[in-house]
Amino acid sequence: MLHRLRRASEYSKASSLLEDPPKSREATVNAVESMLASRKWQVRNVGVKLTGKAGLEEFLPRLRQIVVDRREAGIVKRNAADVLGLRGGGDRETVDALVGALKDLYWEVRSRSALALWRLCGPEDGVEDPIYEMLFGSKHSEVLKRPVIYVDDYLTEKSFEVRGYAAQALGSVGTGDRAFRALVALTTDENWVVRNQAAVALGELAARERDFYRSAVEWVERLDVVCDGAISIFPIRESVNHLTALLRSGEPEQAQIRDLYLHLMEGWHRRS
Amino acid sequence: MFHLIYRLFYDPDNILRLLRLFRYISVRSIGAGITAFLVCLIVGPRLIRRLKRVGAVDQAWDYGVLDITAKRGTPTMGGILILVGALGSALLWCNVANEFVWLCMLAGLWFGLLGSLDDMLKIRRASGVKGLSRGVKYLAQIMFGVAIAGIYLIPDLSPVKHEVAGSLYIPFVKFPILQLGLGYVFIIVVFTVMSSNCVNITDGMDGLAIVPAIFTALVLGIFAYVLGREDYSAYLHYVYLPGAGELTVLCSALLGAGVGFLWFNAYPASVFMGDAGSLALGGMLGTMAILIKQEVVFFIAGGVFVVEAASSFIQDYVGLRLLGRRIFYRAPIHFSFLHRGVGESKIAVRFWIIAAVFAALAVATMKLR
Repeated sequence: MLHRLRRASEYSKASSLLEDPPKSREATVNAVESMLASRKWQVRNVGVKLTGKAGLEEFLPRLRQIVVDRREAGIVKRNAADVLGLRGGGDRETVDALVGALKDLYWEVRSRSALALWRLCGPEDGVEDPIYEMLFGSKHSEVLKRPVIYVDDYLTEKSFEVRGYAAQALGSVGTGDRAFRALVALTTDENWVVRNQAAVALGELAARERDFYRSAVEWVERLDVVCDGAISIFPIRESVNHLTALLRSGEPEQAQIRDLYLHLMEGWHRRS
Repeated sequence: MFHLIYRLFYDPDNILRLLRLFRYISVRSIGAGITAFLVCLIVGPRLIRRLKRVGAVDQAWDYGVLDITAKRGTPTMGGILILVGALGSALLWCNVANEFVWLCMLAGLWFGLLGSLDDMLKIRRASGVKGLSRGVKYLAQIMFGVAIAGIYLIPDLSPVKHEVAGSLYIPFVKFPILQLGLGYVFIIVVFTVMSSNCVNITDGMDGLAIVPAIFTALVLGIFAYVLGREDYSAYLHYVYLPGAGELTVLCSALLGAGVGFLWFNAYPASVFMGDAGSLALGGMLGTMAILIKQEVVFFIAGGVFVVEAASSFIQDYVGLRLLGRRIFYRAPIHFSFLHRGVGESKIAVRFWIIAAVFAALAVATMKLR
């Protein structure tokens, strides 16, 4: 009981620092240092978040260790990957740590690492192979040689979230024919969120490597757009959002505002 | 009221002989269902306008990474509509002198009050998480559980025979498996807390909680009818509970009010039930199950509630607190599907189908004994 109370108090103290960080940088550094050394993962987790919030670059090496530490709690690793993605700066050590985290057993670590790679890396970083391996397994080179791949036949990654972020990452780091094939394969994913990410990534790739432009357009046009749709259509909300954005921009053109009228004769969902 | 009119004015020799219709549970059940439904339809729009006017709107909180802005501003505390419809109709059509009925109505009022208080605090503090504390809610639920257990187990107060009150019955077995006596207090308290919270956890999407609650009410109504009839209960080898049949009328009122509420709560919802509705529904249905000794049947009929609560518990206590990772994409489980990109209305309809299957299974246990 006493042990639990002590743990709760350590955690609540740490959490309060997240809400209201110390005024001086030195105090923040000391707090993070003690948090990251805590035996309780909940407290270490707050330490990771505070590192990101305060932008303490001196702790990035520690976060690089955390993200690949097999014994660390999944949520701590996930948040470490997020912080590295946002604050890591794209140096080789950070990229290597994130690439290593793509093999983690916990899906959230894999997905956030892929997202971090999308944020930090470009085609020159040569990190696409680990992403292919995560998606298609160790035989990814053979799989990606096939002319047309239907992703369900070869996929080894079960989490849609990881596949989605992996597609996104490939849009940024992918190069050449293999990236194109992998993304085309992901446009056949059973989950529409993944298909959406893959299509956008295909666009990103094609914008960078113009050889694929025409084929990418063809694939995007053939995309299965049937989806279960988590987002409702609320025309009035859409109108208000657009209108607010236009008005906030300072000097909206009359024509832009006129575009927001609904075409009442042809159905309320169409714009005039 | 109609039952009272029948008892006071029934005369077989003149036109008042028609009052005999109010003697029958079946007739009163149909009347109660239709009345509750109509009450909801009539009161609903006015109540929704009123709730909007007084600022009783949903205080959206973080559902993981999902965009919830589309729901902001929807009136909440629509559970009041369910309570007005169901209890109003029950007052008209039930024999309110029946102990089974008033105990269940009391449950509805108690849990409705508790939920309303929680909702009002959230609205006043403009935060989806700053309602009543978990401890206060549990305390109020436990208090009610103890009160019900007291009434149920004290021979002079109990609506059932003393030897039946302390017995534990489970589906598929004809006889009580345990004679718990006063130990039954524990079962009742735990069950009361669980039943009300299960529905509360499930209530997170338009129409998601109300339809399984309707099915559960239907199943419990069928059981109450059978157990309240000496011939049917003997044929199916159930213990006969005189007076329990009256709960069928209340269940029907609840069902009608549920359908009436769904009219407004169907996607995209014009009103949410809030804790005022979810706690009240869970409390009432749980109390009914206790009174007719069908606690396990409640868990089968309300399988959706059990799955939702279990997923939430596993995610919170086993995953996030113990292991430091998520077990499901999101919890309760319906958010997992939402997170995967499945549309809200599709998830709700699929859960309704599952709820219907669970309800059918629960009814099947009646014969498989």
